[in-house]
Amino acid sequence: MVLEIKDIKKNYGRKTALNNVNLTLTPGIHALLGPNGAGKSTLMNLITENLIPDKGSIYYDKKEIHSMGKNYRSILGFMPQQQGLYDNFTAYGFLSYIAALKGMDKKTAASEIQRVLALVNLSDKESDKVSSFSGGMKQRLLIAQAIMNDPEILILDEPTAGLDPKERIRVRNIVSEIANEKIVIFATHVVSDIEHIARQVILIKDGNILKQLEPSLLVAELNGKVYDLKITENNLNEVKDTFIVSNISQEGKYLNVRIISDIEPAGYSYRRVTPNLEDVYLYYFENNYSSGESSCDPGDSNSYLQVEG
Amino acid sequence: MRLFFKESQKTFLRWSFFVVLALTVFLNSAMLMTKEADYGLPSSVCNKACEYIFSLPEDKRIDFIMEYSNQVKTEAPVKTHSFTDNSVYEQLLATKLETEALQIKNYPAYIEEIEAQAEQSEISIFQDSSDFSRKNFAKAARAFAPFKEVTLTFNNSQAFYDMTSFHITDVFIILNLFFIIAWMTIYEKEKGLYKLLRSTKKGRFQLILTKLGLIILSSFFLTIIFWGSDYIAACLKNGSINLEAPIQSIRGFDGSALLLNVKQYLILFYLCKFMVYMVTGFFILLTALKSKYTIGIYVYSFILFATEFALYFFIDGNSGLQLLHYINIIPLADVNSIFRFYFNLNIFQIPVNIIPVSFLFLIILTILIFTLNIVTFSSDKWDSTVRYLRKTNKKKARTPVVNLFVHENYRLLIGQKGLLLILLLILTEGWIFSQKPVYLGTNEYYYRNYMQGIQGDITDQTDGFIISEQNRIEKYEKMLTEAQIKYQNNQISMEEFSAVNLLVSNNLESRDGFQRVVAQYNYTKENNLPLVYDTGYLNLFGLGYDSYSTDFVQAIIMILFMVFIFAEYFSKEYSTGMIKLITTLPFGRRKLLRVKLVLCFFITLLVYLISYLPELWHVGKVYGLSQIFAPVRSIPAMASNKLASLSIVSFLLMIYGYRFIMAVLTALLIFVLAVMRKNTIQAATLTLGILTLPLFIHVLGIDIADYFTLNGLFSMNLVLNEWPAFAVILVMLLPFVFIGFNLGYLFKRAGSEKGNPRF
Repeated sequence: MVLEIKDIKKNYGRKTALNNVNLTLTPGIHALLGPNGAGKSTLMNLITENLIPDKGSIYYDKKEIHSMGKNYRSILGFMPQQQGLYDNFTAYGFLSYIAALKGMDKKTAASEIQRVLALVNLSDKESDKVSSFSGGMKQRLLIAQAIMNDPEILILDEPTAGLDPKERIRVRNIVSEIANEKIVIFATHVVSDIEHIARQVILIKDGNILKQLEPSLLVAELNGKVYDLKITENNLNEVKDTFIVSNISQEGKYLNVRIISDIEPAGYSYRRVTPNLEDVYLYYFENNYSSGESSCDPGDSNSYLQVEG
Repeated sequence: MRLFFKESQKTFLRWSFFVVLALTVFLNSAMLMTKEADYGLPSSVCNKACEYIFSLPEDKRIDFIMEYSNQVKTEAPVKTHSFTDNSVYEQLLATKLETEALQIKNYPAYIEEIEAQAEQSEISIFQDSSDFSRKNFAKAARAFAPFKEVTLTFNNSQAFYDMTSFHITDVFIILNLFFIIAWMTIYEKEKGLYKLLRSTKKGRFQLILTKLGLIILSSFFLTIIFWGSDYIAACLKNGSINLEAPIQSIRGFDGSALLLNVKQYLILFYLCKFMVYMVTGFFILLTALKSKYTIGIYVYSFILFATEFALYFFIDGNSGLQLLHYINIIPLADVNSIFRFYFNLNIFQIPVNIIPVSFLFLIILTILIFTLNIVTFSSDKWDSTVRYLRKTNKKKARTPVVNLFVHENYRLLIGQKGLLLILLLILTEGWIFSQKPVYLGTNEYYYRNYMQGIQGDITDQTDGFIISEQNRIEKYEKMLTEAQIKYQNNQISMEEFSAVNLLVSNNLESRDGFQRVVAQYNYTKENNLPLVYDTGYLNLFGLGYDSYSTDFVQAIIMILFMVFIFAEYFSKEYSTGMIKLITTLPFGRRKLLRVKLVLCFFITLLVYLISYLPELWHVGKVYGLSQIFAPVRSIPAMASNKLASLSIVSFLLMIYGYRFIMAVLTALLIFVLAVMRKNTIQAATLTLGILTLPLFIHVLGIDIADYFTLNGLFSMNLVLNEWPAFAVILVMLLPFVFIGFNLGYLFKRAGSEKGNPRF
C-alpha cells in the first residue's frame, strides 16, 4: 500500500499553489503541517481527485489514480475542511446517504453505520437532526462518514478546526485508533494535534515541501537552537525584532523568553533548552526559511549578558 | 398569564410571521377582487344592478326585476333600464336576477308545499312510504312553520357568496395556522428543547395549555382578519348587502330552516369557521407532538384531509353510509353546505337534523383532540407514548436506505420543500382554472349544441338537418317581417306585435349559432372534410379570445415553480461545500448525476402535467374534444397552417410534446447555472432573466422579444401559426441542440469520472 506523489505542480493563474511536490506515503499517520495558504488543501484536493495537477501524477500501488476512476474513490475516505452538511438529515440519514454514495449494500451499511457512530460516540444522537449538532459533533459525524467501509487512504483536512480542547483530544484519539494499516494524511496547522500521533511530519510552505521526517528527527535538528532568555521588559522589543520568539512568561521582575535562533543570543542571559515540535513549526514558518535569510543579526545587539547554558 | 404572554411573544413577535400574514391577506384579497362573478358576469355589472335595485322601494324590487328580465329576454325594442352595453352580459344578468326574484316570489308557495307534503304523507294511500319519510316530512313541516309569516326581499347574493364561499381563504388560514404551530413546536422539537422545557415547573400541563390557548387565539384572529377582509372586498366589489334581510333571501338559501337574518347568519358562519380552524389547529399540534420527524406532520395532515375529502366526495349523501359523508370536516369547513338546506339524517329511521349532529361532532372532536394534546405532552412517559403508537413490540435493527434515488427524492421533496411547492402549484392552477368561465354565451351555447349533434362526416342526414333548420329559421323571420309590416300599417296592436316578437325571439335564439354552423358546413362540404366543433381547439391552438396569452402565462407559472423547486436543490451541494466530499465518493459523480437527471425528469413531468393538464381538462369540460382524429384543416381558421394535414390529436401531441421538451430544457438550464454559479440566487435570477422575462414582455404586449428568444417554443402555437416554414424547422431543432449542450456540460463538469469536476 503506497501512495506516491511525483513532481506535482499546480497553479491558480499566476500563483503557484504546489511546486514540484514529491512524496511517498506508506501506512501510518502523516501529518501535513503548514500555515494557511501553504498548499495543504490543494494537495488534499489533488489526492482526492477533486483537482487535476498541471504537471506530475499521483500513483497508488503503482497505478495512476486518474485511470482507476471510482475504484480509487472506493478505497478513499475524505473529511473536508468545511462543515457544509445537509441540515435536514438526521445523523443516521446522513450516513445512509454516504453509504449509498459509497455503493454499500443495506446489510453492510447497517453494520458500518452503527460501528462508526459508536466509534465517534454519536450512537445516542443517530435520530437527531444535523442542524441540532454542535460544531464538534458535526466534525465527528464527518469523521464517521470518512471511515465508513474501512478505506485504505484516509484524508483529514483540518479535522480539529474550531473545536475546544476536549473535542480536539477526542478527535486525535479517534484518528489514532483507526490509523492501523491505513495511509492517513492529517492536514493541520495546529502542532499539538499531531505531535504525539504522527509517524511522519511533512512541512509544507508556499507550495514547497520543506521537510519530510519523523517528529523526533525534526525536533532533533533543532537541538542547540532553542534558548530561554532572561531579560527585562526594556529588552523585549529588541529580542522580538531579533529572534523568533516561541513563548514569553513572567518570572518576578524578569521575563523568560523562549527563542529559536541559529546562532547563540550573545548579549543576553540565556540557557539552551530542549526543542519541541512547536519550535520546529515556528522555525520553519515564522522564519523566512525558504529564502535563506536568518532571523538573527548579531551586529544589531547593543547590550549583552552572557550566561553559560 | 405570564407564560401565555411569553409564548405569544416567542411565536408572533418575529418578522417572518408578519410577512407571511401580510402576504397571505394581500393575496387573498387580491384573488377575491379579481375573481369573476357567477354566471360569467363582471362584478361591475352585478354591482350596478344591485345598487339600482336597492334604490327602489322594497315592494317594487321584484316587479322591476321580472319586468326587466322579460324585456331583455324578448329583446324588446324599448327597455326601461339597462346595466351594460354588452347584450350577452345583459342576458346573463337578467337570467341571474330572475332566478333570485323567482325564489323570493315563490317562497310562500314553497312553504305551503312543505306543509302539504307532510299532510299527504299521513294519508292512507301513501302508507307505502317509509316510516322515516313520514317522520321526515312532518319534522320539516314543523321546522318551516314559522316561515309562513316571513317576508323575503331582494338581496345581493353575489356579495354574500363572495364573502362566504371563497375557499382560498380557508387554505390561507390553514397555512398560517400551520406556520404558527410549526414555529411553536418544530423548532423546540428539532433542537431537543422539550426535555428542558418539560423538566421545569410549568413545562408540562401549563405549557401545553398555553400552546392550545394560542391556537384558539390564532384561529380567532385569523378568522376575523381573513373573513373580515373578504367581507370588505366582497362589498367593494359587488356592492352592499342587506344585513337585516332574512337569510332565505339569499339565492339558494330558500331551503334553510334557520330563523336568522343575514347579519346573524354571518356571525354563526364566523363562529363555525373559527371552531373548524381551532380543531384543525389542535390536530396539527397533536401530529407535531407525536411525530418524531417534521415530515410526519405533513404526512398525517395530508392523510387526514385526503381521507375526509375522499369520504365526502365518494360517498353518496343518500346512501346507507351518509353519516361518513356528512359528519365530516369538509362540509363543516364549507359551513354554507350545512346550513343552506334543511336536511335530516336517517339514524335508525329517526330523522335527526344535520345541524345539531354536525355541531355535536365538532364539539366532541374538539374535546377529544384537546385532551389528547394535553395527555400526550403532559404524560410522564413522553417518549414511550410516542413509541407505543409506532407499535414496536421488540427492538428492530434499523435498515438504512442505500438507494440514491430515494435519498435524492427526500432531499428535493422534503428537505427543499419540493412537495409543498408542488402542492402550491396545484392550488395555483386550481384557482386559475376555477376563474375560467364555464358558462357559454347564447351564441356559443347554441353553436355547441348544433355542432355536437351533427359533427363528424357529412351525411344525407346532416344535409337534411341543415336544410330543415334553415327552413325553420326562414319561417320565423318571415313571420316577424310580416308582423312588423302589419304593425306599421296598424293592422295589429302593440300587444299582438309583442306576442309575435316574443314567439319569434324564443324560436330564433339559436339563429346566430346556426349561422356559424352553416359557414362551417359549407367549408367542410366543399373540402370534403368532417364537421368539427372547433371552439375548444381554437382555444388550445392560441386562436381563441385571449390569443397566446394563456400559453405564455402557463409557461411563466411553470418556469417560476421549476426555479423554486430546483434552484436550491441543484445549488446546495456547491454552496455548502458538500460537493468536495461527494465527488470523492465512488458514486458521487456520474451515477449521482444520472440519478439527479432521472429525478429531475420525473419532477419536471409532474410540474408540466400540473401546469398544462388543467387547460386541457377545462376545454374538454366546457367545449369537448371530439373528432380528435379529424385533420386540423377541418377547422377553417387552421386551413392555412403549415401542418394542417396532421390530425388534431397529432397536432396537439406535437404542441404539448414541445412544451414538455421546453420544460426539460428549463430544468437542465437551472442545473447548469447552479453548477456554474454555485449559488441559488444567481441560478434562479439568471434562469428567470433568460426564460421568464421575455415571456413577461410578450404578455405586456411587446411581441418583438418573440423573435430572438425561446418564447415561441413555450407556446408552439405562435411558431406554427405565424412563422414561415424554414423558421419553424430551425426553431424546432433548437431545444434539442440546447438540451445536448446542457447535458454535455453537466457530464463534463459534474459527472466526469476522470477528475477535475467543477466544485
